[in-house]
Amino acid sequence: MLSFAAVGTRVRIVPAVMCSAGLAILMAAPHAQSPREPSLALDTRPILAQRAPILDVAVAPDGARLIVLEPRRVSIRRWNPSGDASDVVEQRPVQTDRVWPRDLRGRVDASHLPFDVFLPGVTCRGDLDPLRVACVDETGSWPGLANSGVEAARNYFTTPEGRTFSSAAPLPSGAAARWLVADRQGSLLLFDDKRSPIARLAPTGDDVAGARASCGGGPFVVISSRAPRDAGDVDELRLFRVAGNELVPSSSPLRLPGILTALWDATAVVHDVAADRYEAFQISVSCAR
Amino acid sequence: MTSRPIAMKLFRSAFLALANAAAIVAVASASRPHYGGTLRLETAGVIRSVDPAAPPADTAEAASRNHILPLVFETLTTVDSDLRLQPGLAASWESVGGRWRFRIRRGVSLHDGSVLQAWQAAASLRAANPSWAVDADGDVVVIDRAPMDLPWELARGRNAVAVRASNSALVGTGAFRVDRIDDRRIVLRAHDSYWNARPFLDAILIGMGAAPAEQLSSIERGETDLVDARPLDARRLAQRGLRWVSSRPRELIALVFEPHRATADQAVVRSALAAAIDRQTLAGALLQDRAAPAFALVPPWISGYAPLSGTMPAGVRAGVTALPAAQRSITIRVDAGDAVAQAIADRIVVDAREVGLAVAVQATSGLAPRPDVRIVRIPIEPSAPDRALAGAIAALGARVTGLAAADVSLPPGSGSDAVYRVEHALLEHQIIVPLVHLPDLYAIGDRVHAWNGPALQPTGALNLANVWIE
Repeated sequence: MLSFAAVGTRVRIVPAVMCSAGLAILMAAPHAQSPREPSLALDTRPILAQRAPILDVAVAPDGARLIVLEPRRVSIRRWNPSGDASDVVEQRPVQTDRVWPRDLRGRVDASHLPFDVFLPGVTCRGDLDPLRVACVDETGSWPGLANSGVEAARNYFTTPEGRTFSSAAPLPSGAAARWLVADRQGSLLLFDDKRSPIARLAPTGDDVAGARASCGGGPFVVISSRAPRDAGDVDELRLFRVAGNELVPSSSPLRLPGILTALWDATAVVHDVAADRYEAFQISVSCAR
Repeated sequence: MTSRPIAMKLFRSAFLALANAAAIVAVASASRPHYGGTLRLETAGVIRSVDPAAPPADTAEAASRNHILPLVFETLTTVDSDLRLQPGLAASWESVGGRWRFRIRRGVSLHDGSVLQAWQAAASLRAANPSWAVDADGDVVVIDRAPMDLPWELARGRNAVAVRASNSALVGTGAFRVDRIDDRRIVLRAHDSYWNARPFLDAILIGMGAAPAEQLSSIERGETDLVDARPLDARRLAQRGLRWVSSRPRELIALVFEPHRATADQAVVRSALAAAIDRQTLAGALLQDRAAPAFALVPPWISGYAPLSGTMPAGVRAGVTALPAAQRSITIRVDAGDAVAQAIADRIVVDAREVGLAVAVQATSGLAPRPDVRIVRIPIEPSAPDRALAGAIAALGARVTGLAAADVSLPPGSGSDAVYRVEHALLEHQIIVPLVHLPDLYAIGDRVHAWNGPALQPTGALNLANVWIE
């Protein structure tokens, strides 16, 4: 789930653009909402940028290192609370003869050690101190909605029931809908706890993630989609509140500086095609009362 | 089982409940590429043979082959967007004592499911180039008696590897395989075992032989996803909200004077006409910024020269006025089927008037009175500068280049100095007058997207393996 950050000024959220430095530019305007209703915004903090594709970035359990997954290697960078990442201090190859799909997806689960790396048709187990990565050509279940991993030459998952999806975000227990799921065609669906669709939603999107804001409401989800054509070939993130079987827009879109290639919980990776550069960001929800 | 009816009911009610929500939440198109679907493409040329080495019947077929066949048949080397040689089916290469050795990439799957072997690549190259000595040594293709710049030569489409299968069909290694072909259309299917990752699309349906106007109407009606486009169509497409993809300039439009106007005593006329033509206006207003003014045969992005700008020499108008009236009248011939060339010729009529020349345009596809000058289209190969210029010289033909310069010999591997010298010699007497450089242009429909880069590479190669459709 995304974290939140309260901000001290009260603003009405208007279209936001993320500049290359990765900061959301929010313009203050007279507040039009009820005094008790929070104003929410998606916020970003840059983690690192590089020319080589980034598949995922995870903070190691010690909180002092970043584990960076690229198509052919796992690397380690030092990381400090101010958000500065060092150059690569250690790296190991992802050893496989597999041909990666064009839209390659990969994920690091560093919630424990040894950490896990997931790639289409390949799973790896990694350790720190020293860095070790051992990979095998087998498809394993990725974190999140139960699945049999990303299809080896594709970019989507399959549930045990055979349903395919691009992305899924967990929803709090208690409601009928337990997962927000983006299917392969970009439609958004709500799944129950048996992974059966119970509603098809109006917005479209390909990547979804759960989000949390302390200042009210929720549950929230972040959904990616293509920005309007006049913005160029870039994507944007939108924050929605899940209200029953509906999604209610909760902030203005956050325009990204390129194409979103990964959204794993609070980590987003963007490919700036023009600059041929990949940037990883931490996404959070900021709010003001 | 008992929960299913309830779930379905909820599903339906959600649909109704969200009808209003849809009105307030803008429906954005998807961003992550989707697998599947058929791309519908139209092209003006008719591809009569998919054999990469077969000569095209006309320029339209040549253009279509250049775009389509690389999707099916691949070369040992490739040229990237920065005009650098890159490995293709050959993982590496070396030259020792004039003998070239190209190591074939491991695990490349042919469309029939077998793995490409060096001897198959050697047989393909031998068939396309009978004068070369081509053999295989293990996983290496060995080539003797070949041009000095062989790695560049092997990047040309005509040297793509096409393997004769047992049923005599040609199979390749590319992202798509030929499923069906007839005289009106080609159906390509995704090559699931493509060594460079399966394409997103399942199939490409290529309609052939449609005139530019038909193609334009087709994409406007949403019946096609990708069509050849002309610079003249830019405004119309923009008004309809359609998008463009464009390569870097890779075709030259030039004037070429006929022999009776190529003599030394006609230099004033040639000089005046060359100086009078406003290339900026041709490229900008006329061709709607989809062209670049040309002052050289090879565009600057290939030659590396800074673009020159034309200046009007002093006394041009006076020199023209002093000529006999017959010499001040010029007939320009253009191909009747070439709307762009006709538009350029019509504009030249206006420019020429400024220096006292009377220009008439002769648009014909058959016999006609002898013109004074012709508008020609010269394809420019995205390659090393010497190869690009050599290709332009070959396209102009020996008759034209013989009139323009005494010596146009350009050995393979010539450096920039030699390229500049030969090009300068060809243009010095203004028998060949560059006008504009044109890119390859495609109009693309709403449902077409490209992943990680444009659908059309700067070199003009279609990047359809990375294209996906909604």
